[in-house]
Amino acid sequence: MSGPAHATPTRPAPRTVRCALVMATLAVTALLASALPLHGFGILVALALAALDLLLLDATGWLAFRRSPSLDERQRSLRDLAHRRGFRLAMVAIVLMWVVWFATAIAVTIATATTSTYSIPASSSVDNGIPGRIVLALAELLLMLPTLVIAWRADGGAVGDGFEGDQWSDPRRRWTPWLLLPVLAATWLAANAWLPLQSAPYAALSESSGGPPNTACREFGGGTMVGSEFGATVGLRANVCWDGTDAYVLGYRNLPIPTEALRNFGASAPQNWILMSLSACGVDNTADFAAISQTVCTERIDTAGTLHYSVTARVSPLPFGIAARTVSVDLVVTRNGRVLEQP
Amino acid sequence: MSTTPSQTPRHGLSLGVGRMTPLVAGAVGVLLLLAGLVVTPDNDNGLTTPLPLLGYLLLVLVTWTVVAGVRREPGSWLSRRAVRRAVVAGIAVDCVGVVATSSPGLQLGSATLALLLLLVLLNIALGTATQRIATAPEGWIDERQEALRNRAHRGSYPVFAAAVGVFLVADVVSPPSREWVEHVFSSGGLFVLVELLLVLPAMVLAFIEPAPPPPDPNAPAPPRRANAQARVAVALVVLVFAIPLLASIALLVLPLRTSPLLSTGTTPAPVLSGSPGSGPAGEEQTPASWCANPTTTVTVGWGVTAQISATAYACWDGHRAFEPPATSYSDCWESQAFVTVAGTQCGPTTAAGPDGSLVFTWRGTVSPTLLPFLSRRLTVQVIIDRNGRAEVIA
Repeated sequence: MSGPAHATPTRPAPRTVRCALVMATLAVTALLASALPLHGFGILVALALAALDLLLLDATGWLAFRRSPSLDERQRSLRDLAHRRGFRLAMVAIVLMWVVWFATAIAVTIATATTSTYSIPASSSVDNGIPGRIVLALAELLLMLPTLVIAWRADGGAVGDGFEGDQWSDPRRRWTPWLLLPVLAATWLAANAWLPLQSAPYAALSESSGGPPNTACREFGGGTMVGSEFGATVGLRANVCWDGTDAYVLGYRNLPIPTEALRNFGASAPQNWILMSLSACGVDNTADFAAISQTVCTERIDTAGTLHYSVTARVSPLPFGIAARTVSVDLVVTRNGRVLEQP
Repeated sequence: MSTTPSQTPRHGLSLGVGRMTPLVAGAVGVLLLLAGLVVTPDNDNGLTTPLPLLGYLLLVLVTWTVVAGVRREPGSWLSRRAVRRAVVAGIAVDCVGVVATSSPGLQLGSATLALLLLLVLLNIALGTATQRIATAPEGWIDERQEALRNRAHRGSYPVFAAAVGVFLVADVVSPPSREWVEHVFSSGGLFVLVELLLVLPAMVLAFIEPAPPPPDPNAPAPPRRANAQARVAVALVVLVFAIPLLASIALLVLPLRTSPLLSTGTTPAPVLSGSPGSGPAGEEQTPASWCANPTTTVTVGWGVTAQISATAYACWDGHRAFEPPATSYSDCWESQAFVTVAGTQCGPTTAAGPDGSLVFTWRGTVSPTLLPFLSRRLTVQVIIDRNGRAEVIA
């Protein structure tokens, strides 16, 4: 630790700057907590948030995280008051997060209903648990609310006074926290490149809508996660019907229906079923922190009438296919409805 | 600066005993009025369930307000440091119990309900022990208390962050841990989260607050009005806890309440070959038998209730009453609030009486969720005589 002779007093940041940082932090947190698509750029949002946090912490002299012995009575009082306000604001913030998520989910649903075949991209049939972006937003609130309160207050910028001589005000050490950014990025990249794939169960959003007479149908779903909650999820959703002769996917226009099954439809045109999008390819993918491309859904019915349905996609955390992984989700159902493999 | 709580002046809004007593009396009067409205026989206005529940919630709110107005005396039993810490430990254990005993979904088991009631009791005790300093408005507390509660919030912040952090990490680690997080939050975990958000600072405050000074033997006795308010508060707390238990017992002993029998109208019986009422083929027939489906709603209990809407499909021809062919039923005893229905059959058994009547019998067993070791067998009968007159016996 350097002595007082080497230390430079921390210059208080102007309140307007601190307030602007607080607003920016809240806006980025709201973006994370929303249902707006991130298209694989979530890590950039997370890094931007971390950078804003570091600026705020620097502007407030890390007061919220300081131990009492290094503080005078006024600083201790301000720090404790900020924790009280922060704790009370946490409750409001959690409620607001829900409001933001629901409002943006509705907005996204309405917006994509006019531009896409599928109308509910905001809610996938694959259960991912608490999405990584929400985990980050919650963690941000839990860690940073006292600092946000301090930064917002008129007396929050002068907290650097009196810190001279300790490790926090040593200019040679002030850059150390910024190492957090490359560490975060490296951890994320390692998780996406090497972490074992995780399976995600079916969220059971919808029921099977059936098929032609003398046919049983059931909707299957699930997915595979790359990089846990901080990567991407390749999802599968398929309405599978079986009639004792064949098992097949019904409801996706790009997959053919067996001739025998087509005959069973009789007067009711199978197009009606197809248009209902009972099965879909790619709409249950979640690509918040890594991009998903080349999604291909293939169906093969073998000679025994068993369906082999597969969704394959390429998950790329970085551009130009760096550290990309090919992920496949498989479903195998016999002609009698026995499930041999499912996500 | 150090002042004892009893010396601390409180400013701002305060509800004194003089204003509180009529308020309490009015609230209790409204409650009794609601209760009278609900327990009126043959009441089937659709408000049977929500009114007692709303009344009870109102009572809880009134109790909370009255208890909040009672001042803790220095040196009282609850202000002892060991007792305060025991209350904090009790709340922590209770929270763990709520998570452990609850199952996913909105239906709470008897153990979870009991633990939630205990949690309310412990919260009241904690509030009294800490004089609700943690949530007191600005200006109600002195400088020392302000500093103490700020310190308590600083202490509770990392505890709360760690508690939530455990779930966030579990959500990321693996599919089984993710499933566990979902299980916890779809059951009692939500209650615990809200509890922590509302009460954690008070818990930390109760833990770190120094022991109060011993009471001054020369200090004047508390005013009579304060004693009266404390007694009202105790009585209300007892009432809040007694009502669910009494309502649970009432489920077992109160007579069943039935609504008047209603029928959508009388229609000619379907004529089937060989069935009663069928005449020679090819003739224009005057219906010899008629059918109706009288319905009654039977309710058991008050506040803690179960209900069945029993419909008897029956035909009669003047000689006997009989059940039309291929009749299906879906009349089940259903829990309206805090009742477990066991061994129910959705539909009646039918038996012919010696005088040509037809007796429909619905059976079921109900058990209060709070007292699951007690149960009551219920039997409802609708009797249709050979002329179509219906009577309900419950």
